[in-house]
Amino acid sequence: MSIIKRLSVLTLFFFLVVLQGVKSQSKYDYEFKNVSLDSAIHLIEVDNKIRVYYLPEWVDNQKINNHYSSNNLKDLLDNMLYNVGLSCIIYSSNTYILIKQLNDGQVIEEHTSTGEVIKKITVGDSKVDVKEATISGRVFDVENKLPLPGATIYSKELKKGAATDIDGYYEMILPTGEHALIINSLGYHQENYNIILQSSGTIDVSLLSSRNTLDEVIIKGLKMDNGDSEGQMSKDVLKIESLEYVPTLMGEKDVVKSMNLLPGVVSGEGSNGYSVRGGGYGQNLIFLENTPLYNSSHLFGLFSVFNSGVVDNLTIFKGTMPAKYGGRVSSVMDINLKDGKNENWAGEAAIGLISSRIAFDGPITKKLSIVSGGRMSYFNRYLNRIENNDIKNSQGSFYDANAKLFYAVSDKSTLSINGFTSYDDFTLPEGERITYSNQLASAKWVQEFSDNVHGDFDLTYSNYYSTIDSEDSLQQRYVKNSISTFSAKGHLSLLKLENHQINLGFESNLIQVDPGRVFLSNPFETSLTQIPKESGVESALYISDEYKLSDKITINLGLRYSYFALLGPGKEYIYEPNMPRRSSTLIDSLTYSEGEIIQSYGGLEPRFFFKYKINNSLDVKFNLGRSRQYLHLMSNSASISPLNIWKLSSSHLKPQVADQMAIGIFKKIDKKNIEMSYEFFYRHINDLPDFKNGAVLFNNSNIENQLVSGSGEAYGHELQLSKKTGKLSGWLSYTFSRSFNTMNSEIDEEKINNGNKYPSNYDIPHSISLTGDYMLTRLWSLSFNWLYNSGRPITYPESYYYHDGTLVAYYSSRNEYRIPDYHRLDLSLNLKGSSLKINKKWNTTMSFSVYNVYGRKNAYSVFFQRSGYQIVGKKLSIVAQPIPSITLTVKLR
Amino acid sequence: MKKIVFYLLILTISGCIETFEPTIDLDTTAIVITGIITDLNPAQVEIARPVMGHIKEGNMKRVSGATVLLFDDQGNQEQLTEIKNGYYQGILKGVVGREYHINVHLPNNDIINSSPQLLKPCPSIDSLFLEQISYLKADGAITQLHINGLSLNLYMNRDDALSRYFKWKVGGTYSRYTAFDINRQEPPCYITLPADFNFTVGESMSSNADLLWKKLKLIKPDGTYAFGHSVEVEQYSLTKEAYNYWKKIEDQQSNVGSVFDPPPAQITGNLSYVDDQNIPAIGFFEVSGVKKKRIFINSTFFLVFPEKPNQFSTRDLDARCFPPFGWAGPFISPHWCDDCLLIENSTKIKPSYWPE
Repeated sequence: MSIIKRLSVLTLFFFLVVLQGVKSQSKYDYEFKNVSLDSAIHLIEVDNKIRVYYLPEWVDNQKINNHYSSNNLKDLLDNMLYNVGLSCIIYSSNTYILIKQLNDGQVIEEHTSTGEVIKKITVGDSKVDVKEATISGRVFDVENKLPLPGATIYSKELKKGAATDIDGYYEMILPTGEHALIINSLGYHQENYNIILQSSGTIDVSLLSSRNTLDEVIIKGLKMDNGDSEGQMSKDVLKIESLEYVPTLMGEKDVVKSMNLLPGVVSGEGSNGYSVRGGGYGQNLIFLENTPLYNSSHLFGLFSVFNSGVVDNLTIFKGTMPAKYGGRVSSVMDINLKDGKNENWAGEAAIGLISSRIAFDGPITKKLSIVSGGRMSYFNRYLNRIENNDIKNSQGSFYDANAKLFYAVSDKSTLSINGFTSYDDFTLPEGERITYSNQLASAKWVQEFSDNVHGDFDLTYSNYYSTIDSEDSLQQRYVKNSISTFSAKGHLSLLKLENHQINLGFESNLIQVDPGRVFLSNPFETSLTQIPKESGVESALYISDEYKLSDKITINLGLRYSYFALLGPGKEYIYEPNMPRRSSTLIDSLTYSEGEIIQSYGGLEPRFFFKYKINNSLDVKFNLGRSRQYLHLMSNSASISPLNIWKLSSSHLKPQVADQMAIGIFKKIDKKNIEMSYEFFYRHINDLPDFKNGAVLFNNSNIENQLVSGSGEAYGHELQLSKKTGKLSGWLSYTFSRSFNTMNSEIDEEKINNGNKYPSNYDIPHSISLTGDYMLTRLWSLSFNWLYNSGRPITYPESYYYHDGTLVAYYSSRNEYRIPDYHRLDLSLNLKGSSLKINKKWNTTMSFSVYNVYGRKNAYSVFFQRSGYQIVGKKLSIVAQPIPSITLTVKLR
Repeated sequence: MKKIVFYLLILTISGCIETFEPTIDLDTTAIVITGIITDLNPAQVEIARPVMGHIKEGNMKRVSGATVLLFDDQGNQEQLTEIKNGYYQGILKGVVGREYHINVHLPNNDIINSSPQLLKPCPSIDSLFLEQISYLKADGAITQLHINGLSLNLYMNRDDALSRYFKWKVGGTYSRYTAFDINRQEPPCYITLPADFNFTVGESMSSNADLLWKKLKLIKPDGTYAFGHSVEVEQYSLTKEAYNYWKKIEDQQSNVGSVFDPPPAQITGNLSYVDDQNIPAIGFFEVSGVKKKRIFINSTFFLVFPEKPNQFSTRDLDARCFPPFGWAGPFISPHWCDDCLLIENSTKIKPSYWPE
C-alpha cells in the first residue's frame, strides 16, 4: 500500500474530536498499584484537565501496576498504554486520542500545538515485544517508481542513519518506539516521516523530484556514498540527472566521459578507455546491466556508447571492490538502465551536432514495461559537402540501440530482458574501412524469497569485434578479431540476520577470444591466417557479511574464490629454459584437444571493509582486498585503438594479482550541506604484463613472446570537497597518484629500464577537477568544469647516431619524458524549462555550451614521424579550439 | 593508421598537429661505438658522440685518441690503429668459430667493453631472383601513379645450422654517362653505391628446411637502371644479440609515423662501461660471417621503363645539371655534370663482373 493510500485511513481517527485545555510544562508522576486502566486514565484526565478519548472495550479488564513518570502527558500515556497495544496522539492541547492495534503500515496524523500536522506510520506488529527492530524498505522516485540509490534515511534524535543501495534498498536497526526520520536524496524533496516502530517491518518511501520546481540546482555532488551505512569506500555513484547540465563535447551528455570529473579517474578526448588510480585501461571492468562490455566508445573514443536517455545510474568501485565483483585489478563500473516502471509513458529526444537520440519508457501492460532508446550519427553529411577528395572519400557512421523489457511476474519476482548493440563504421580517405561493434543480451530474474532474502539471477552474453579492410591494387587485407563472453550469475542477499547482512553468490563465464583472422592477397601471396582462438572459463564463488558491531563500528568481511581454466583446442609452446621466448628458442609444443584444460589458475580473494563512526558527521573507513585478473588487454600503441586484442592467461601469461588498500576520512557539515572526503590508496600488482621494447602485437600469433612480466605499484591520495545544495553547488577534487612498474628478469631481453622501477603509462601525478552550477535565476544556470591532469609519460628520442650509414634514434629510458599537461575549461548556460509548474507534461531544457573555452591544444598523443632522415615528435590535439554547441532536450512526462 | 588521426581531425574540424620537442639535457659525455669484424675484413671501429638534432653523418663529432683493443677467445689481441679522426682499423680478418670482443679505453679514462660474440659461418646465397610487381601509388589526393617494379628475392643455402639470424645489405654498381655528353661519345662511368642504407634482417625457424627465402627489396625503375646496374647483396650471419639490435633498428625505420604504432623504445647493444653497468654505452660491435652475390638489372627487366625514369626517383641523375623548364635566372650546374668521374666512387674501368 502506498504512503498516499495509507494517508486515507486517517479519517478513522477524527470522529472523537473535543477541544479542551491541557496542563503542560509540568512534571507528571503517577504510581498505580493494580488499578484498572480505565480508572488510571480517568485520574489523569481529572488531574490535568484534559479529555482522553477511546473505546471502553479497549481497556476492559486491563490493569496496570507500575510507576510512570514523564515531562509530558503524551509520553506518560504512551508508556502506560504500550503494553496493552494502545498509544496516544494529541489532537489538540487538551484532547488526547487513544489508538489501538495499529496495523503495520497504518498512517495517522497528529496535530501539534503549533498547528503542524505530523504523519505517523506504524511499523511492525504491536503484539511482538522487542526492544530493537529492523526497519527496511525501498526509496523510489514518486513519478517513475525507479529506485533511488544513495538516498539517506536518518534519525536526528538518535544520530543514526542508513543509505539505500543500488536497488534503492535500505535497512537500519532502531529501538522500538517513536522516531522522526528524515529521508533525503539528491535532486529530490526531503520527506519527514514519524514512525511508530513496534517490531521489524518495512517502509517504502517515494520522493518527489525537486528538479520540477527548480528551487535547487541539479549538480549536487556526485559522491553519493555519504558514509552513513556501510564500510564501502573508494566508490562513486553517478546519476544521469546529476549530469543534466554538465558541459560536454558537442552537447553529448556522456555518463562515462563525465567520470573524468571524479577523483582518481582520468580519460582524455579520443581515448577508448579510462585509467583509475594509475591502473591500465584493460584493468577496468564495465558492466551494462550485469553484462561485460569490452568497448564503451564511439568514434575512436570521442563519445561513449551509452544513450543518456536510458541510463539511470553508474557506480564505480575504484579500489577494493565488494566480493560480488572480480576479474579486474583496477576498477569495476556498473551501469544500470532505467526499468520503465512508470505509471505513464515518458520519453526524451535530443538533437545534437553530430548525432541525435531518442529514448522512451513506460508501461505496455500493468505488469510489463519497456525502456528503449537509440542514437544515430549523421556526420556523413558534413563529410560529403567538404570540397576535398580525401574528405569526400571518407565515410563514417555510428549508432547504438537499447531495449529493456521489465516484467513483474508477481509481487515477489520480476524478470527483465535487455538487449544492446553499438556499431561504428568508418572508411578512411584511402579506402581503409574500420568497423567495430558490441552486442549484448541479458536476462535477469529478481526474486524476493522473503522479507529477508532477495535473489538476483542473470544470464548474459556479450560480443565485441573489430575489423580492418584495406584494399588497393597491390594487396587486399582483411583483419578481424573478437571476444565474446557467456555468463551465468546468481546472487543472494540475506538482509536481516540480527546485525548481519550477508551476500553470497556465484558466477561463471565462458570467454572466447579470436585474436585475429587475416586474409591477405597481393602479387606475392594469397593467404588466410587464423591466429589460434582461445577459450577459457572463469568462475567464482563469494560470500560477504556486513556486520554492525556497534553503532560506531561496521565491518564487512568478504571472501571470493576465483578459478580460471584455459581450454583446448590449443597448443602450449615450450621454449628453451632461461632463454627469451621467441620462435628461435621454441623447442616443443603440446597439443590439447577440445575442452581439455591447458592451464588453470585459481585462488582466494579476501575483501575487508571497516568503518568507524567517530560522530554523526565524521567517519573513518579502511579497506583491504585482493583481486585477480585472468583476461589481459594487449595494447601498447601510444593510444588505445578500437582494434583491441584480448588475451587469456596461459602458461606464459600468469594472472595479474592485485593487493590493495585504502583509508579514508569522510566529513559532513550538515548545515551547509558540505561533504569532505579524503582517501589514501595503495595497490601492488604481481605478474603484471608489459611489453618488450618495440613489441609488435597486432596479428602476432605468438603474442606472449612479446611480453615481459613484473610488478606494478600505485599509490596516492584523493581529496574531495562538495557542496550539494544552494545557489552555487558542485565539487572540487584533487588527486595525487603515482603508478610504477618494475620489469626485472635474469634474461636481459626481458628487462625494461635495466630492471629498475619506471613510471607506467598511466602515471599522472596531479589531477584537479572543479565542477559546479551557479543558479543565475530560477530558470537559468551557469555550469562549469575545469580539469587539470599532469601529462602522462612517454619515451622520447633523446639523441641520434649513425650506424653503418643508418640514422638511429636513441630513445630515452621507457617513459622518462612526459607529454604536456592537460587542462580545459568548459562552460554551459542552461535554460531549465520554460515554467515552474510541477505537473507539466513537457519539460524542455536547452544548453548553450562551450567545450575547451580557452582553446587549449591538449595533447591526445605524441607520436614520431620520419621526415627524410629526421625523426620529428608530433603532438596531436583532437580538440584544439573552443567547440560551441546547443542541445535541446524535450522530455515527455 | 595515420589516416585515423586525419579522420578525427576532420570530424572535430578543430584538431591540430604540432611539433613537440621537450627540453632535453643531452648527456655530452655519452659515447657511441659501432664496429664490425668479419671473416672477409679486419675489425673496424668508429667512436663518436650522439647528437641531439639531425645532422649528416659526416658532421658527427668523432672521438679521437682512444685505445681500441680486439680480443679473441684464443688469447690473441690486436690494437686497432686510428686511420682517421675517430675511425680505428685492425689488420687481421676474423676467423669462423672464434669469439671476439673489443675493449675501448677512452681519452677520459672511461673503459668500455663489448660482450664476446661468436663469428658464425655464413651460408652461401643460392640465388637472387626478381619478380615483376605493379601497384598504384597515390599522388596527392586525386591522382594515382601506376608503378611497375621488381621484387628482389633471395634463396639461401642454409647448410650450416650455426646461425639462425641474418642481415642483408643491398648495394651495387651502376653505369651512367656524363650528363653534358649528350651524344654519349665518352665511355660510361661505373659508380658504386654504399650498401649501408639498405638493410633488412631475418630470423629462421629452428625446425625449418635448409633453404630460406627472403624478400629483400622493392626495386623501382629509377635512372640507375637505365644503362645497367649490378646489384650486390651482402649476407651477414648474426649473433642473437646483433639480430635483436638490428631488428629494433629496422622496426624503428618502418614503424615511425603513427599514433597506433608500438611506442618506440631504447635500442641497447652489447657495450657497457666496465665501472658502471647501469650507464648505457650506445652502439654495437658485430662479429659476422659474410657472403656476397650479384645480380645484373637493366631497363629491359622492367615491364615499363619510363623515358625519364628519374621522375620517380629521388636519385635524380641528370635533372640537377639542367635548369628547370622555363627557368630564366642564373643556373649553376654541379661539377660532376661535365665529368661523371667526379661523382663519388666512380670509375671508367669496367668491373670484371659487368656483363658484356
